[in-house]
Amino acid sequence: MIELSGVSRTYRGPEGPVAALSGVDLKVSPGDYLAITGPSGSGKTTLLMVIGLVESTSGGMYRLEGRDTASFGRRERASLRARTFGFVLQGGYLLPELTALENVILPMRYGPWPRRVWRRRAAELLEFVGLSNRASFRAFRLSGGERQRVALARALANDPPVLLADEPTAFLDSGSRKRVLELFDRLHREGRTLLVVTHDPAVAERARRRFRLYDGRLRPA
Amino acid sequence: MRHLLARHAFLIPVALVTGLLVAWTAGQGAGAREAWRREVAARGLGNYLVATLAGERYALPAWSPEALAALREAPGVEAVAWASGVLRVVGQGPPEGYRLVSPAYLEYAGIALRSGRVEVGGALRPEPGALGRSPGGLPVTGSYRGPGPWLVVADEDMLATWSPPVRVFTLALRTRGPAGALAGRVERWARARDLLPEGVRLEPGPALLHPDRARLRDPLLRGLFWAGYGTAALAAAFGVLVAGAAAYLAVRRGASRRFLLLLLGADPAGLFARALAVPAAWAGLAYLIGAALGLVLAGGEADPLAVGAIVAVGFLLLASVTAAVARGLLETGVYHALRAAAALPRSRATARLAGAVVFLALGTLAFSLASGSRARTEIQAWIARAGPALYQVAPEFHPGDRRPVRRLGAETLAELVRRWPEVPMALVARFPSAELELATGERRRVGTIVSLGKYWETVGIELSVGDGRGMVVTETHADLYGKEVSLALGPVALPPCRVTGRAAGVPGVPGSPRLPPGWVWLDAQGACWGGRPFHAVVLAVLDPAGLHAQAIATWLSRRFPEARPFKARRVAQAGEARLAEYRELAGRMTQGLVGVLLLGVIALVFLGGEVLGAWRARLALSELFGASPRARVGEALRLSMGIFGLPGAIGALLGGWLGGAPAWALAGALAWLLVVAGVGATFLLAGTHPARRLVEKGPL
Repeated sequence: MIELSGVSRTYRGPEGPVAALSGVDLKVSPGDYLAITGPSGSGKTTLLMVIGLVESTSGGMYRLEGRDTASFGRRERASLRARTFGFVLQGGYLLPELTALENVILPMRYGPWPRRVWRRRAAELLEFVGLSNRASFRAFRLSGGERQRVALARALANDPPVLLADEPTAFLDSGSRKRVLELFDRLHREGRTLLVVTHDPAVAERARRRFRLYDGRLRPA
Repeated sequence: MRHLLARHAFLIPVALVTGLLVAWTAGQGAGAREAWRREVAARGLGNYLVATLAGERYALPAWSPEALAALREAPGVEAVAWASGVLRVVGQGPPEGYRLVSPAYLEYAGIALRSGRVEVGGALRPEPGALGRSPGGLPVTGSYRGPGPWLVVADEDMLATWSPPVRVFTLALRTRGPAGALAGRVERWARARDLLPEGVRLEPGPALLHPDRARLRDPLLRGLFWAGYGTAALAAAFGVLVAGAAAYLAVRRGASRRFLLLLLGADPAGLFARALAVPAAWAGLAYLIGAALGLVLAGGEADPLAVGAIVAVGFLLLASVTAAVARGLLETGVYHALRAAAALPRSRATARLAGAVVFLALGTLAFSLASGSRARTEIQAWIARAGPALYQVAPEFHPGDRRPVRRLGAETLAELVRRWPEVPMALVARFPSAELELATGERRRVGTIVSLGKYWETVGIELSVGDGRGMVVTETHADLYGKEVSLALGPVALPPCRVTGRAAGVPGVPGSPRLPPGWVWLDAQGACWGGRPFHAVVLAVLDPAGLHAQAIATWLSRRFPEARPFKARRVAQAGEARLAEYRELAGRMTQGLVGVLLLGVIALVFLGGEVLGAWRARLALSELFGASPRARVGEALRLSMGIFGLPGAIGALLGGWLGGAPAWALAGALAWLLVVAGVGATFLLAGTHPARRLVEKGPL
């Protein structure tokens, strides 16, 4: 269970403090499928980073599984991040010098899986996203859609219950977008929690619940 | 212009430093060669082919009168200059040594005979009784009493009929043209007629005076000499390779721009031609500027060889740049430009290149430090062994001074012992004479020290090398063959020597066995010295204050006013001269080393930036994936070790090992320094929360 109550996040800007999030309230239950839309600079990515325990809150309360995350140390936040969240970033953000398989293996270094199963598991995940024939391809040789699917496989590497996706279909053609969204649906059906930040109305429409973030404030769409 | 400069900010300094380094080194070489040419011209050696021995062989074989006559018929040969070994004639007075020489030998040796006078080096000097008189009243056409034994001028007929039989050990052929051009032809001709014994070569006289030849004689300096050139060559190769890498990275960076221009309607051929030409032009210009600066630093000397080296390296650099650019262009065609080509340089290849840079730079550094340190330590140990108390009293040498070198006879030695009974002294009698030095082109310091007075029970040791090579003469007739003998000259302990041979003949007499290098020869017949005076040149004096040594030198100079004056010098000074030579060579090596390090720093700044950029992305992802702070430090450490630490340590170890000194401490320190710097730089660039920056930055 993810529960945000009056969460704010402020950055120091050149002209004084900038509020990226202001009094955000949000509850996400296990198996939920949420879409958050909003204009650029509205704080969508910041919200994702706060939920993913990359950023800490400036105010309010963020409870994860009933525990106040403000009390978590850096090590505990890192450990929770490894076990609980999978990130899909805009454009995939793969390491170009690594193969698709190696990119998928990357998070397993911090997860629960013993080293001997890494390659097999990564191969299974690539098969899941329909890219077993691209396992040995360096990331820079993959198309945008393929990269995003590898990123999705990578996000699933440690079998996290929550998937956080930041503009997962940006720059993708309709075919690739469709494939990524079908995978999201499938993951949702399997019981994972999905939280997707997007500009794309078609992506938002597939979510069970939709929110709009504007000037750091979250409203139901 | 500004964006072009920015894109080639890596290439331009690399080409500039390479040009500077190559021209500096080549210019210095040209300066040395020019000095050598002047000396060759001054000594008139341009038209002489000199018989020399190859390798470590020591004594030249003898030529018969028939062989000498036949050599005169060799193609391009004008005259044959020859000289016998030292002959001795016993008359009413003390025995005297002389050498039979051909008329051409006088010219070769720079000696001219004129009626009643002897002209040496352009200075007319009366030589009473020199002409028309010879040792033992021998019937000769002329004779000369110069440095060393008498020279008795003779022709081949006299050579054949001389009694006792004469053996000719010195041979030089005066040619009609430059000796270098004729050497091969004359040598083939002579060899076909069996006129050149096995192992003997005919070398152009100038080759014997080549500036680097002297350095190659000293094993220690020889190592440094090659290390100096090797480091400079390595630096040049390094520059060529790094320039290629720089051009490659630059062209990869321009991929997106080229793609955009193509989309906007630019002509593809023109675009690619420009992409190919611009880096080459920048590299060429920077190289030329660097080369001009290098020549200025070298003193402005540039002979064809130096220009050739500068041009050759320049071409290699341009070829490397062009090939790298062509490869980069092929790899970043339209297809790859679409596939985020900008991210390509952050590849494993860049990391490997950075690792290679670290490997080479640290390897060269360790090699230079190790070899330099070894040479310095050995020379300083040599100086320490000689001790501050040991003085050498020897005739002063000045180029052009042809006054005779006075050897010290038995009477003088007895007088020395009588006048300074408490001063420990030893005579250093050197042989073979200058004859062998001239013939082989190598100055062998094989010699004997015979101690005087109360040190007569102590025996001789070679003083000038100090590594146990030389001859040991014992008074006791004890058979020391196979034994290790500890020698001391007064309080100065000399290195122990193993006696590895016995003299079968009389040392110093031509035809007697000569000492192979590295051997200590025991003359069990110590008494054989008793019948002859000690013709010594150098007197070794143990005298902490140096006052007695100075007094002895003054006394000897006054006793022999016609000879070269004697001078007392601290023996350690010879070592200091060797140190000076070392410093000169080390300077050349330092030049190459500075070049390598400078190029290494430039390369590391740019390649390191690329690599650290990739690391930042990796660390950011690690943070997202839940890596703990400790795990991220571990990750940075692992990456630093892989790219900087390991290649650096291996390079430093290898360089240290090749340089002849253990470099474990150095390798460890340098590698860890790099690792710490790498980790520090990574976190400095990445910040404590790289993930946030990664997400904001957008896709790769």
